[in-house]
Amino acid sequence: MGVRRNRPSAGVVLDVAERYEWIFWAAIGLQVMTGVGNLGAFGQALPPPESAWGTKLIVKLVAVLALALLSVPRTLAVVAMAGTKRPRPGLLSTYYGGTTVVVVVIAGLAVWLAHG
Amino acid sequence: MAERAIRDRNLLVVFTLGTFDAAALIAALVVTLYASGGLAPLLSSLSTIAGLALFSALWLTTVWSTGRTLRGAFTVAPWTSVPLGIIIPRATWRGGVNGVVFLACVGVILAISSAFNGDVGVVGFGALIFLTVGAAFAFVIGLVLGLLFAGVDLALVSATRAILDEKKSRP
Repeated sequence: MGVRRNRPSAGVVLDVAERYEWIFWAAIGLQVMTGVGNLGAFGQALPPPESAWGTKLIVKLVAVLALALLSVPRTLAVVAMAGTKRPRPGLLSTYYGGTTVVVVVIAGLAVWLAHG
Repeated sequence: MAERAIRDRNLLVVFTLGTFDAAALIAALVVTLYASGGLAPLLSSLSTIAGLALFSALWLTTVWSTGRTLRGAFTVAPWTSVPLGIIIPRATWRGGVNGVVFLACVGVILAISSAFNGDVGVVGFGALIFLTVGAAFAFVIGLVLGLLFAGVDLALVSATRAILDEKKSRP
């Protein structure tokens, strides 16, 4: 009576992961581009770095930098796995779980910044 | 079909490293300038459209430069088959070229912006600066950044390889 779970094939998992990586890096570029544009809209009215808002902004920018830095090994690992057609489900879960946590932290900081 | 898949994967590596280098450079510059108080005067002298165009230009030239650096360096995985003694000088040189190409883009963007404002004299002066001191200065800055990011990118590639090898060797 055992019910077998339908697991997606290795090819499908890696294909989806590769598409995700293209979208992720395009989003990182757009995020930095629009982020600088948003700061430009402040102009001389940009709060000083010593203010609470300034500290939050620096923390957010460092978090974005960390997200980009930690995401390079993830993308390279996906490319390597796709090249050898051997996915490592455990490693992929760790990478994408970690990415989700950092993205949630950055989104939280963005909301915190927007509300002063 | 397989060749296309390999080419797409190689392009993904180029796009990833190029985007990472451009984004990390700008994010690091913004943090440094903001912390030192130099960001507000710089941003207020730059329109939003010009700022977006400048980052787009840097993004484009850096991805192009990364593609030129990694040409012929791919194997089945993103590990380079080219010795470090070749890839590092190549990345450094490409960084210098990227600096000059990016400066040319900056010149074009600022010239269009100035021409719209009717400052034609500024355009001529800017072209003169670009053709003399500007290009040499941009090349040297690009060389240094190319070397720096070659080191960072190679460290990230090594880290990925170590993680994959370590996971593979586990029982």
